[in-house]
Amino acid sequence: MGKKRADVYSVEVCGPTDLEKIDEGDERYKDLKGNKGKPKKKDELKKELELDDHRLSVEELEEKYGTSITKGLSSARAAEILARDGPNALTPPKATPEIIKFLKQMVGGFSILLWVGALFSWVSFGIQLAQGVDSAFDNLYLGVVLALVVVLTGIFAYYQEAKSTNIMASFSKMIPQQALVIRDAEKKEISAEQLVVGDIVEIKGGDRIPADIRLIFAQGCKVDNSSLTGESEPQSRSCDFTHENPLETKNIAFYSTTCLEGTATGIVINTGDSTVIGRIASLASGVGNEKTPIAIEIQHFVYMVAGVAISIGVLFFIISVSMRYKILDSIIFLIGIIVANVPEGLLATVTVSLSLTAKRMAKKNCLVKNLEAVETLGSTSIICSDKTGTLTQNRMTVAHLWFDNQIFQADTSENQTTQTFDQSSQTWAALSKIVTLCNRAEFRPGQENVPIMKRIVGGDASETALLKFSEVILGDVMDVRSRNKKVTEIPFNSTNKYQLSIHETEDPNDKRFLLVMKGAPERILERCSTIMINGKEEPLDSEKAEAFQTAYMELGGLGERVLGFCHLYLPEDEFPDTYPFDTDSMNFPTSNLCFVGLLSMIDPPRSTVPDAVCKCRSAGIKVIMVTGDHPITAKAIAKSVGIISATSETVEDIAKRLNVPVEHVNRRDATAAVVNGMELKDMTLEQLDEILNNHSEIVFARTSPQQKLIIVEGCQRQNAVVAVTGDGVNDSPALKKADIGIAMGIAGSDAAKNAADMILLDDNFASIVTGVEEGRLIFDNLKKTIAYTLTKNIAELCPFLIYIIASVPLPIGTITILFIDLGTDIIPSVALAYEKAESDIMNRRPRNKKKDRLVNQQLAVYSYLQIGIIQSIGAFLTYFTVYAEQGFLPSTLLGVRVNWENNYINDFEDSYGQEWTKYQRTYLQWSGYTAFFVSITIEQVADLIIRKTRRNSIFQQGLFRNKVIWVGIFSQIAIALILCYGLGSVTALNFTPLRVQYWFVAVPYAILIWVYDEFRKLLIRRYPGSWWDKNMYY
Amino acid sequence: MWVLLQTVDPHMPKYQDRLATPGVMIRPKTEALDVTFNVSNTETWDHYVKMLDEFLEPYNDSVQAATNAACRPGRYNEQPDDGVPNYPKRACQFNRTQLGPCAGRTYGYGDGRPCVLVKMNRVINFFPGDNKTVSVVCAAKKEEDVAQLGDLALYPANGTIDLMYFPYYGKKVHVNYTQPVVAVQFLNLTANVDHNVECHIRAANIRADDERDKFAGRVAFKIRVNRN
Repeated sequence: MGKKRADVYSVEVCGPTDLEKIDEGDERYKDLKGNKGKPKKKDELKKELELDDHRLSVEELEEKYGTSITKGLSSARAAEILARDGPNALTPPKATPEIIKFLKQMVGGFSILLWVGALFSWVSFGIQLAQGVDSAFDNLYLGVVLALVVVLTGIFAYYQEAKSTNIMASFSKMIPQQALVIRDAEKKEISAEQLVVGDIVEIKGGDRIPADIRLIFAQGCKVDNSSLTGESEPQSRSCDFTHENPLETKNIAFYSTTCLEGTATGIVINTGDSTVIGRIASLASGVGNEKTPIAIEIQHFVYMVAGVAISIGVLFFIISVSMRYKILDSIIFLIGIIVANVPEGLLATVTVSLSLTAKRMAKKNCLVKNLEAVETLGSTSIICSDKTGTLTQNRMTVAHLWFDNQIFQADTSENQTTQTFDQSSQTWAALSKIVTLCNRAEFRPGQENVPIMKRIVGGDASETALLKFSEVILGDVMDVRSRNKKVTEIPFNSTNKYQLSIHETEDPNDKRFLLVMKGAPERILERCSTIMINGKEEPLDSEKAEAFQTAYMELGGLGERVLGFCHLYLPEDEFPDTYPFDTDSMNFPTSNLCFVGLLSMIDPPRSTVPDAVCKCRSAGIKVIMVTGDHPITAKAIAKSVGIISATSETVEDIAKRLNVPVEHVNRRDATAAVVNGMELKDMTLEQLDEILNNHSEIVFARTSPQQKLIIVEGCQRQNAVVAVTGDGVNDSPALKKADIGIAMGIAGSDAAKNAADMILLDDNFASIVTGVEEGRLIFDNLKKTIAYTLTKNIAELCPFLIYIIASVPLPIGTITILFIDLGTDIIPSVALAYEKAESDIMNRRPRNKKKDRLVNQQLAVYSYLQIGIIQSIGAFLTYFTVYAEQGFLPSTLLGVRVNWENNYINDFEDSYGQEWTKYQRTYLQWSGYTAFFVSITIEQVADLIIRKTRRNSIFQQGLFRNKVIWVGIFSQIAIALILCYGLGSVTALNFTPLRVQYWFVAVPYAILIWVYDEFRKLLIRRYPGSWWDKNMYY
Repeated sequence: MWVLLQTVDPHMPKYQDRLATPGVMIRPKTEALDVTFNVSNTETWDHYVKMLDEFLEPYNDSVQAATNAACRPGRYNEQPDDGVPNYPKRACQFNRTQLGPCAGRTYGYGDGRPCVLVKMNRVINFFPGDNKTVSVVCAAKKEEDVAQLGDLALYPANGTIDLMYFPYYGKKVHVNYTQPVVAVQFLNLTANVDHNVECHIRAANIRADDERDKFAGRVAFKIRVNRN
């Protein structure tokens, strides 16, 4: 483990040196470098990894790749290289062959036990056939049926799994990407997969970079590297060699990143798996997939039941051998015991239940890739969530305004239609005009019917926010702009840090021009000499400047991006109608302006998130924010969504409040912590553990996506079940490592989606919480399903035990048992998956992986030894009734087995002196099977009803609320009726049409089961914590 | 369980639907219904004789005369309760001597002309034959084997089962009930050959052709006489 962790840590991509380290660290990764199966010497590997193309000149590059920047490669040469390197695409993670997956289903779970049963059946068939026993074929059929059961449930499980994988496949299928390439001196559009090293490609704004490219020409080119490095700001790209580190240098663009604007031409230097992204992606597949909690639980359960089956089987094998039964007979008993003990249908039922929940979750925007992850989400105890897009709306929105010496709050919800702050001031009128006019963003045409907030805008994030803000308040912005015609403008640039435009005014009598300006508040203030207060211009004295500073600091402290706004009406005499404004010579004043106000913007939290975080909190789930953003912004958002609650303080807060240095504050006093990525880098694992342990509210800011992995592992060391959200390629190792990786459906990269267990279709944190709820519910309901299914195992097992010990005619046949397990019981046990929660499942702590087992001792004891026994007694009563009313009183039945089963005794005497042939007895025995079967079915109806709740009374839960339960009950009875009366004449099935009254013999026992369980639940509710509660609550 | 036992009638089962056609069995009862013996080797047939001795013990004329009534042959011996429920019933005499040469000694096993007793299963309140004669008919299972099987003799004459032995009223009230039997004697069996014989009941209300129950109204057995 230690070694593996070391590898994983070095995922952090900081250039070739790190990648080399990975190689040395683990031989496994050799294969990932595109030379599959060909082990190379380490030196060679290093050389291959050395990425020095960014240092080379264009001529050197041409020489190295045998290409020409004007003519490109020849088609023939390209084809050659393509054959050598393979297509330019990431090899998908090595999938397990379908046949292996299928075979796995065939041997997993109880299958082995059933195969053993089938094998024994065939062996005894062989022996009996050799001995010339007539009934030998029964064993052959039984063996075939058992094998069929295994194969069918295997096919079913395989199909279920394939179905959920298919959802994924359709999801990840993408439109083939095209690339513009120069080959044979011609520009050609080819599929990006056909690209080879040395190709000259042209890219423009909006394109995805088709391979790792060394730029040889670039114009205003910016790329979004966020999926690779986590930097959310666009990075400019040029053809200059600016940094030794290939990841930092400006002249390399990486595969799968996006070109945001500008154009560029470059030489392909790496394709497919050898690209930087390709290496990271393959690294992710190296991170082992942990077994899901529910898989562990099911395995625990299978072991338990198999243990019971084998021990009882072997015990009775020994007993029957010592009772001088023939070995062959003892083997047949053993088969019966195994079949009775194994809940054949249960694993299929669990799969169905999980897929039902998965479907339900998909409706709530949680797409589950791996069925078992459904439950994992329910046992999650820590969620490491991204900020942008997951907790927030992922769009800048105006949050606060400052004018007239006052801070106003704006509505930041998703679907704002009005703003409610005081808009009566003249200052607001002036401010709104600047906001509207000094803005280059525009709505894309044809969206008149789209809600303002959803319209697509051309322009950067801040301008978009301002445009929408003014559109909401003022109405038609474009109209306002056309009435105040723009005369000239200076767009925002990073040197000026302001944006300026000059407009005609809409008032035809006012011939003055209006100069409007916005920008960084301190720069704007520098240019102002007056400030507008309540519509009047007042001189900007130090007191007012102080007020500005306070407001600016306050808004900045909220983590918001603040902009200052000012204007100036140009005097009519100096700037007449025809005045030639020139932005180059700046023939107009840009100082002594009038300061109007501040607007601050933030990417606001989604409105559903605070509630969801609160739910997580009451559900005992710790929410940790992990973001690449600035700590102040991160903290502000964390506070506004409740990740840091209103009352808790960080160490820094306490220090500030007490006015002591940070070092003097007792770290234990702070419940919250904001950890900077820089600090995290220097932390030892112990320090990280301490933070995770001692603070309940944690925000990791300025973290790179790679650091997520460290955080996830830290959480896992605390024995937590960790859910992690992520979207970038670099998140994929963390997603893989997490107990449940959650990829973003909208913003997520394919690599992230591939590595994740679940995909959040709406990128909304609140959806995770509904997922958690579903996951917890299914865990509870699976408990009920298993309790329901296990109960009748005793009623199926007892007949064999009594048969062996008391030598009565066999009360229920093996085939009949299979009809219960795979017939009548299936739909009811699935129906329990639809059961509503008994109490608020979001008010209890996540289950403890080690203590709260799916199948615990209480469940087993209560199902097996209490309800199971009542059921058996009821079924035996029916069995004895059927025999007694036909002439065999219970006392006569004891010890008759050998003669009863003798084919040549055809004058077997009953309690009344009548004589029976073998066939007449066998038919009676089948009636007995049917009676036993019917009784179990009837009692299972009661069992189903009691399993609806574990603590509450059925009447609290509502008998009719879950309609599917009734579907289950009716199906159960209908199947029993069909088997009994419809198929009663098919000899092989061993059913006979049963007299109607025998259906009711077990009814008192069914009622007893219900009453008994109500009594149990009553005592549990009355005396919580008592002996009864501890031993009877499962 | 207690409730169950209370509701059960000790004299008469509630249902008899499974016993619509009574089964047929043979004596001596052997494993796989196979009667094989060597005439000259006493040990090979001694146990058959013992079995028959034992079986026919209650049929001794003396026992019959002591316990059972001589009934009028040819009609059912109905004994209504006359208001007293489960009033004990009298049984009719079936004298061992009626079986002629199959009544005793070696039952023909000693001289290679073995007897096999054919009996019909007891079923309470069952009236076989619908007031018409009931008899046992035996033959080789396959027609081509008839010659090899040789002649058969039936005792009582014609293999008749008299109606006076019916109905049967059950173990509790019909004490000493003596089940009628028909003895089949194989007079000149071809030696050292397996003979598959089938006997069935010829009666108006007994079907002997049930596909599934090979012993309903009929019985098939194997007989073989070895001679040195």
